[in-house]
Order: sequence, then structure tokens, then C-alpha cells
Amino acid sequence: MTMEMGEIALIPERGEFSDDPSGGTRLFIERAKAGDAAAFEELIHCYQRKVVATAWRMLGNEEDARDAAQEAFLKAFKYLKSYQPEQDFAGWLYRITINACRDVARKRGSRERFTSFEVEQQLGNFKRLSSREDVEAAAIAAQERALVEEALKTLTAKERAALVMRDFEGLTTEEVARILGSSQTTVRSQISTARAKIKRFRDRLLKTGRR
Amino acid sequence: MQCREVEEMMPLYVEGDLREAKMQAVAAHLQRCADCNRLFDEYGDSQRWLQSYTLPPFDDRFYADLQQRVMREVRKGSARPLFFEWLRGSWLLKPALALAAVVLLVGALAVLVVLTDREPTAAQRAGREPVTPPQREESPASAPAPTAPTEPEVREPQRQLATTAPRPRRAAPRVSVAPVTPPMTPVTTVTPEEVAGIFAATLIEPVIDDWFKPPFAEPQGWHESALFASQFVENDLPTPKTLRIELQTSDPRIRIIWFAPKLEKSENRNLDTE
Repeated sequence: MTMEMGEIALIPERGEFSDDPSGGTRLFIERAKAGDAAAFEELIHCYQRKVVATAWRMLGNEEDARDAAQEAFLKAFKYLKSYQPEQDFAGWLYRITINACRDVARKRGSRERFTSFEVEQQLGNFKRLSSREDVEAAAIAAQERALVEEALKTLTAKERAALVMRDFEGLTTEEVARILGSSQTTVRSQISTARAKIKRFRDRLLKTGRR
Repeated sequence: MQCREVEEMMPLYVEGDLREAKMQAVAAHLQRCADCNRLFDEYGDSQRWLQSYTLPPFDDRFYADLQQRVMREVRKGSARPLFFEWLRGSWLLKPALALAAVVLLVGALAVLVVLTDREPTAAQRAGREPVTPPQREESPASAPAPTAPTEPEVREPQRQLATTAPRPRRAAPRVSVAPVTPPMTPVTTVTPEEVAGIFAATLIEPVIDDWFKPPFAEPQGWHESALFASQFVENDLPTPKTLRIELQTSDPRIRIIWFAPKLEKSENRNLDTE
């Protein structure tokens, strides 16, 4: 997925993170393992959007997402020697990203995490848009993002991680369980609870007419 | 299947996360239950709303900045050692630190107990057996016995008395019957026959006199002979021939020492009763 100037980012397709590296990427991995910094830079370029997307969904704001993504790539470089070629590199990097997100979330504590419409406006995210309709659509999207982020805040860290991996990243419950180090039963329970909470939040939203 | 059960399974059913058998059971129930169908639609709307969670417009500058930050750290080689990085982020940090603190504390207490266990021994020896040479007592390797640790205490009383005479260097040796700490070297146990032999006599050589200056701070409880000897010291009179008699009991911690005037053969008493 590439971004053009002014283009609103679309939600990546489900399962995008779990693709296998191409032949060229595999070469970069091998050279980066040998200590080639330039090859690792190419790997960053290949995977940074996916890493940032996951981090943003896990953490809900730009600053934390950037910190988590930076931490994830640094850890990936450090642990690259232990990466085996037969492993799925994207899945391996994804696990590192999830752990980095959890570390950042733990460090940040209960700090306000989501990026509201007003914050995005201050960041100038709408200035690059060319037409009024684009600005209006972007503003609506930003408001929706803020509300969804508010709903996600009602989840525990584990529920959010399970939900993000299952509903946004498209991983199976088995894969989610392996990454989180839990049983499939536990993961299903967490996902079920998370979805029920999201629905209850949305029901309250509709009743109060905040939209 | 009851509506209550379907309601509980709906969050998983809506995304196909139930096992096949349960998926079919819920589907069959939805065909005949309007309320559960409505619930299914609500969960569907909620999931679609959730998945409208789009990424904010991160532009190329954001990604370029991220890349530069990472590569700066990579080139600097500033990544922390693996262990400390794990430790920093580990949920085990606090328990690990607590465990390490407990282990250190236990180790320190163990060392303290060992050292304390040895110290009273030296202190007791020094406090309760003033007749014994202090230098030897203070040495941790030395026996608490006033005589040379390697020498048997009573088997050859003559030699013992002769050798102990010059040895004590303490200014005011005292008679003591208090328990002493076990000597570091084996001490000969005195048999009743040997005791009898000692008293029988004339085998006992007189002990030195000049060095003998008992303090006798507490006359009560002291042996009569010791009191007798002290009078000469206090009055600065030359002490008569005095016998220093040491008996090591079968308990290595207990040694009996007393001083008695030398008795001529004719004056020998039945000392068994004393």
C-alpha cells in the first residue's frame, strides 16, 4: 500500500501483516542478519506502514504509535540473529510489534491515548486535502476514529490486543493465542468480551445521540 | 438452544469464531427467533462500525522521520544489552528484585549467624578463664585451655604444671570453674583414677609462685584454697608454695581449676570429700 500526498489512509486489508516476504525482502533479511545496516533500512521501508498501523490500533495516538514502531524495529534489529529463515518474517515482526506496544502502553499508563478530531486538526492533517468535500470527509473520519478509540479504551490491554489482532489484522484465534501466549479458549473469551463491550458502548452512544 | 445461550455466543458467532457444531445450532435458532435475529443485526452493525476505524493520514514525512530515528539508533549501536532490555520490560522485574533482595538478606543473616556463633566462644573464654593466657585465647585457632592446646591436660600433671607456670602472661589470673568453651584440640579426659592419683600427692609439683596473683574479686563461691592464696597477694606477701590443679571433666566445656597450698605427705587429707 503506498500513500500519495493528501490521500487518506485506508484501512489495510485483513491479514495483510501475515504475508510472506518476497525474494527481494528475503535477501534484505539475510544481509541485515549479517549486520548490513543499509539492508535493515530497506526492511524498515517495507514493513513500517504495517507496523505503524498495528501500533496505532493498539495505542490510539500518533506519538505512542511512533514510539512503539521505533521500539519494534530496534528490537527486531537486536534479535535478528535469532530469526530463522523458515519463520514467517512478518509474523515474527508482528509479535515484536505487539510486545513493543504493550511496553509503551505500560509506560504511558492512563494517559489520554486517542487522537481526537481537534488534535488532528492541530496536527494539520486536513491541510493537505485539496477539496472541501475531502476536508469534510476527513473530518467525519476523524470523528469516527475518536469515537471508536473511546470505545476501545473501555477494553483491558489483553482484550484490546486480542481484538486488534483478530478483527483488524485478521489473524486466527490460534495465531492470536500463540502470539499472546494464551490458550485459544482464553483468547475466544477475551474477544467475545471485547466485542460485547464495543457493542454496549455503541448502544449507549446511539441512545445519548452523541453522533 | 435457548435465547440466553445464543445471546452469550453471539459476539463470537457474528465473526464465525465458534466451532462448526455451535455455528449450526445458532444458525438454526436464528431462523425461528426474531429477537435473536435483531441481536445478530446489532452485533453486525457494531462490528462494521469498529472496522471503520481508519488510520489517520500519516504522511511520508512521518515514515521518513521514523526511519531516520531507527537508523540513528542502529548506527550508534545504542541498543541496550539484551538482559537489561528484557529486565526493563519484564513483568518479572519487581519480583526478581524482591527475590534478589531476600536472597542477599538471607545470605547476610547466615554470615552473621556464623560469625556470632564463633564470637561468644572467644568472649566467654576471655571473660571466664583469666588464668589462661590471653594471647592464646584470642587466637581463634587456639584452644580455650590455659595450657598449650596440644598438651594433654591431666595425664602428666607434672609436665603440665611446669609448662603452664611460665606461660600465663595475664596479670591477674583467676580461678574459675565456669564452663569454658571447647578447646580446638582434643583434651584428655580425666579418669577418676587419675584424679585420685593427683590428690595422692606428692606427685604434684609446686606451681610457680611469683607469677601467681589471683584477683579474687568475688570471694563467694571461690574455693577455699583460692581465697587462701589471695591473701598473700593483697598483702604483698610472697605466696607460699601453691599448687595449681586443673581437671578436665568429660565435658570438654568444663574444666576445674583450683589452687591449693602444697601439702606435705603427712598433711595429706582425704581430698575426695572436698
